[in-house]
Amino acid sequence: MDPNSEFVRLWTRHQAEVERYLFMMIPRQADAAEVLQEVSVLLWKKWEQYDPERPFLPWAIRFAYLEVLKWRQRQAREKLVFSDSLLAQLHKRHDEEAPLMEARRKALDSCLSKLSDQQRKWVYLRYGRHGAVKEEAEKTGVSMHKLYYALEKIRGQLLDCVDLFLRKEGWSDA
Amino acid sequence: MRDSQKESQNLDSLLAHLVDETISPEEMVDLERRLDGDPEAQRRYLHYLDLHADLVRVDGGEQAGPFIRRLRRRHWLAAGLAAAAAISVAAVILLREGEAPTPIVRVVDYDGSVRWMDDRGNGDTSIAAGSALTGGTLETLTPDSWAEVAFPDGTSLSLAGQSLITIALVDGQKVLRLREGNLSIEAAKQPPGRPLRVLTPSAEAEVLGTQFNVKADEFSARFVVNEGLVKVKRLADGSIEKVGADEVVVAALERDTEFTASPRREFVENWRSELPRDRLQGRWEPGEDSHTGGLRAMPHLFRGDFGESRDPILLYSAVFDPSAGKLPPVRLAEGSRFLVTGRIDRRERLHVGFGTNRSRGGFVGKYHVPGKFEVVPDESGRFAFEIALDAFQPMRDRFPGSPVGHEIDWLWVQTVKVDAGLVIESIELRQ
Repeated sequence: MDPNSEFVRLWTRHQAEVERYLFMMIPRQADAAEVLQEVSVLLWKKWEQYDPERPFLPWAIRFAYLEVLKWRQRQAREKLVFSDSLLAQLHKRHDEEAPLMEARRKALDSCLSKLSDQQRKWVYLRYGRHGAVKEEAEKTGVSMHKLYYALEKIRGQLLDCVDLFLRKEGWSDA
Repeated sequence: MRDSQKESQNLDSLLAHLVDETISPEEMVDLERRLDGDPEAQRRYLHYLDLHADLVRVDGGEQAGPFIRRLRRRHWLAAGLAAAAAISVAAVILLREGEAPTPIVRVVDYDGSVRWMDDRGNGDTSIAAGSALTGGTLETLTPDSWAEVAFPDGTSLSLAGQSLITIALVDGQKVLRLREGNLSIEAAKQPPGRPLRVLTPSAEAEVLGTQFNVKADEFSARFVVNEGLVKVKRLADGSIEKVGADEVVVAALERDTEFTASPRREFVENWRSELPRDRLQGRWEPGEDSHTGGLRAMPHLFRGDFGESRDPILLYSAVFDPSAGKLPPVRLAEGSRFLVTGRIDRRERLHVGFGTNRSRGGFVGKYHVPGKFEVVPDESGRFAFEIALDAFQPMRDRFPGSPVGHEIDWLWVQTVKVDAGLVIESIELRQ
């Protein structure tokens, strides 16, 4: 397989994981999207240095982290960003937690099915279509604040369910 | 409300504002303060944001349940798609090629009741010695079953007794998940940066090239290393122990248990079971005034040997682990005899056998008394019988003719098809 095709294959396979990582470090979608673009360009430039004997994802994440730090420098005056020190801690924690993430995502499928119809509806409103929460609030007279609070509770409930699911599966540090 | 609970809810509230992009600068400062230096809070943060990323969807649609699977394959950031656009056609072709499962191990040999299911959930009953298998789950279903598979680099795995393992190759790295049972690994030298990983419910291990045996259940895992070095991580607290040649470590879920590699104890040639310590399978029944405690044989289904399709039959088995925890290995010596005592409801035929490891090595063979022999209880329902080691024969031609010099890994006593109320009170090996 020629090197270009190999890069495409590996990047296509692992891009979603790099996106997730970036969103954890830069929890604003627009900013994370911008950095992702820079990461993909950087990886392509560095592709000749890639050692095919080593796994691709950790290599990509290492460069993604460097791009996060560069982005952080550009945001020096911005208040809604984490410090370099915390970013370093989160990067390390992500490295430790990465093996568990796929198992957590699988567990989420099961946990979503345990939500009530009403809870599922709220999840759908929040994540299904832009503006749907506001429309629902206007239609039903329920305040936006209350709907978002309900969503906060649902996310907490899903996290607890995933933790429990993984503990039962034997992932004791879940 | 407990402080920790309240603290956790406050953190969730900040995280909700973060992902909903309604967080204020003051809340951001508060969030940073809570996360800084707190591993638990950082974990919660990562899990929360990953959950949010999983729930995000860009295409609208119906209810929540089925969308997660689609979501995993989506690129929820449009920029990523733009970056990949120029090469998307090639990517699609390559991905489609990549979807075809690739064999990663070959069946060396097997014996007894064994099942295989690939990553897509397809069971293959036509598998035989020499078959190439993709990633998937291998299960040995009965105390007397065993299977050996090997990777192309020569790394071989022997699964024995009632055991279940998932085998995967991830970017060239071998990943084995032993849910329960006995696994013996002879690992060839692994590529740098890609150690072979063994996951159990209570521990994770990484090896670069070695021979070691793992025995795991839902609560603990015991690693006995015969050659090389194994790095074991106890999941209960994340602590790591390096286990060298001739050392053993037990990683349990309870944090307050010992987790230190210690030299393997010198073997013994006389052994007497102690229950419930040595229970591997069966139900422990404590003693009462009228009788002593024992291990009740419990039912499980036998569906035929590998490649065989037959009506399931019930076996009732009591299985012992003579070297549980950090107990010394039990070596079989010339002229040894087994003395078995227990209770049974009526005259019945029993099947008795054991599996062995090489001395300071991996799995080597299974032995049983050919046919079944009959036990007759006395008036109180008790029985006792002796079997000479000479009476045990290898269950496959490839196993050494005599188990003398081997170490017992596990041993079983069972009835076939009938529940005769079999309870084993003790097994003793003596010369």
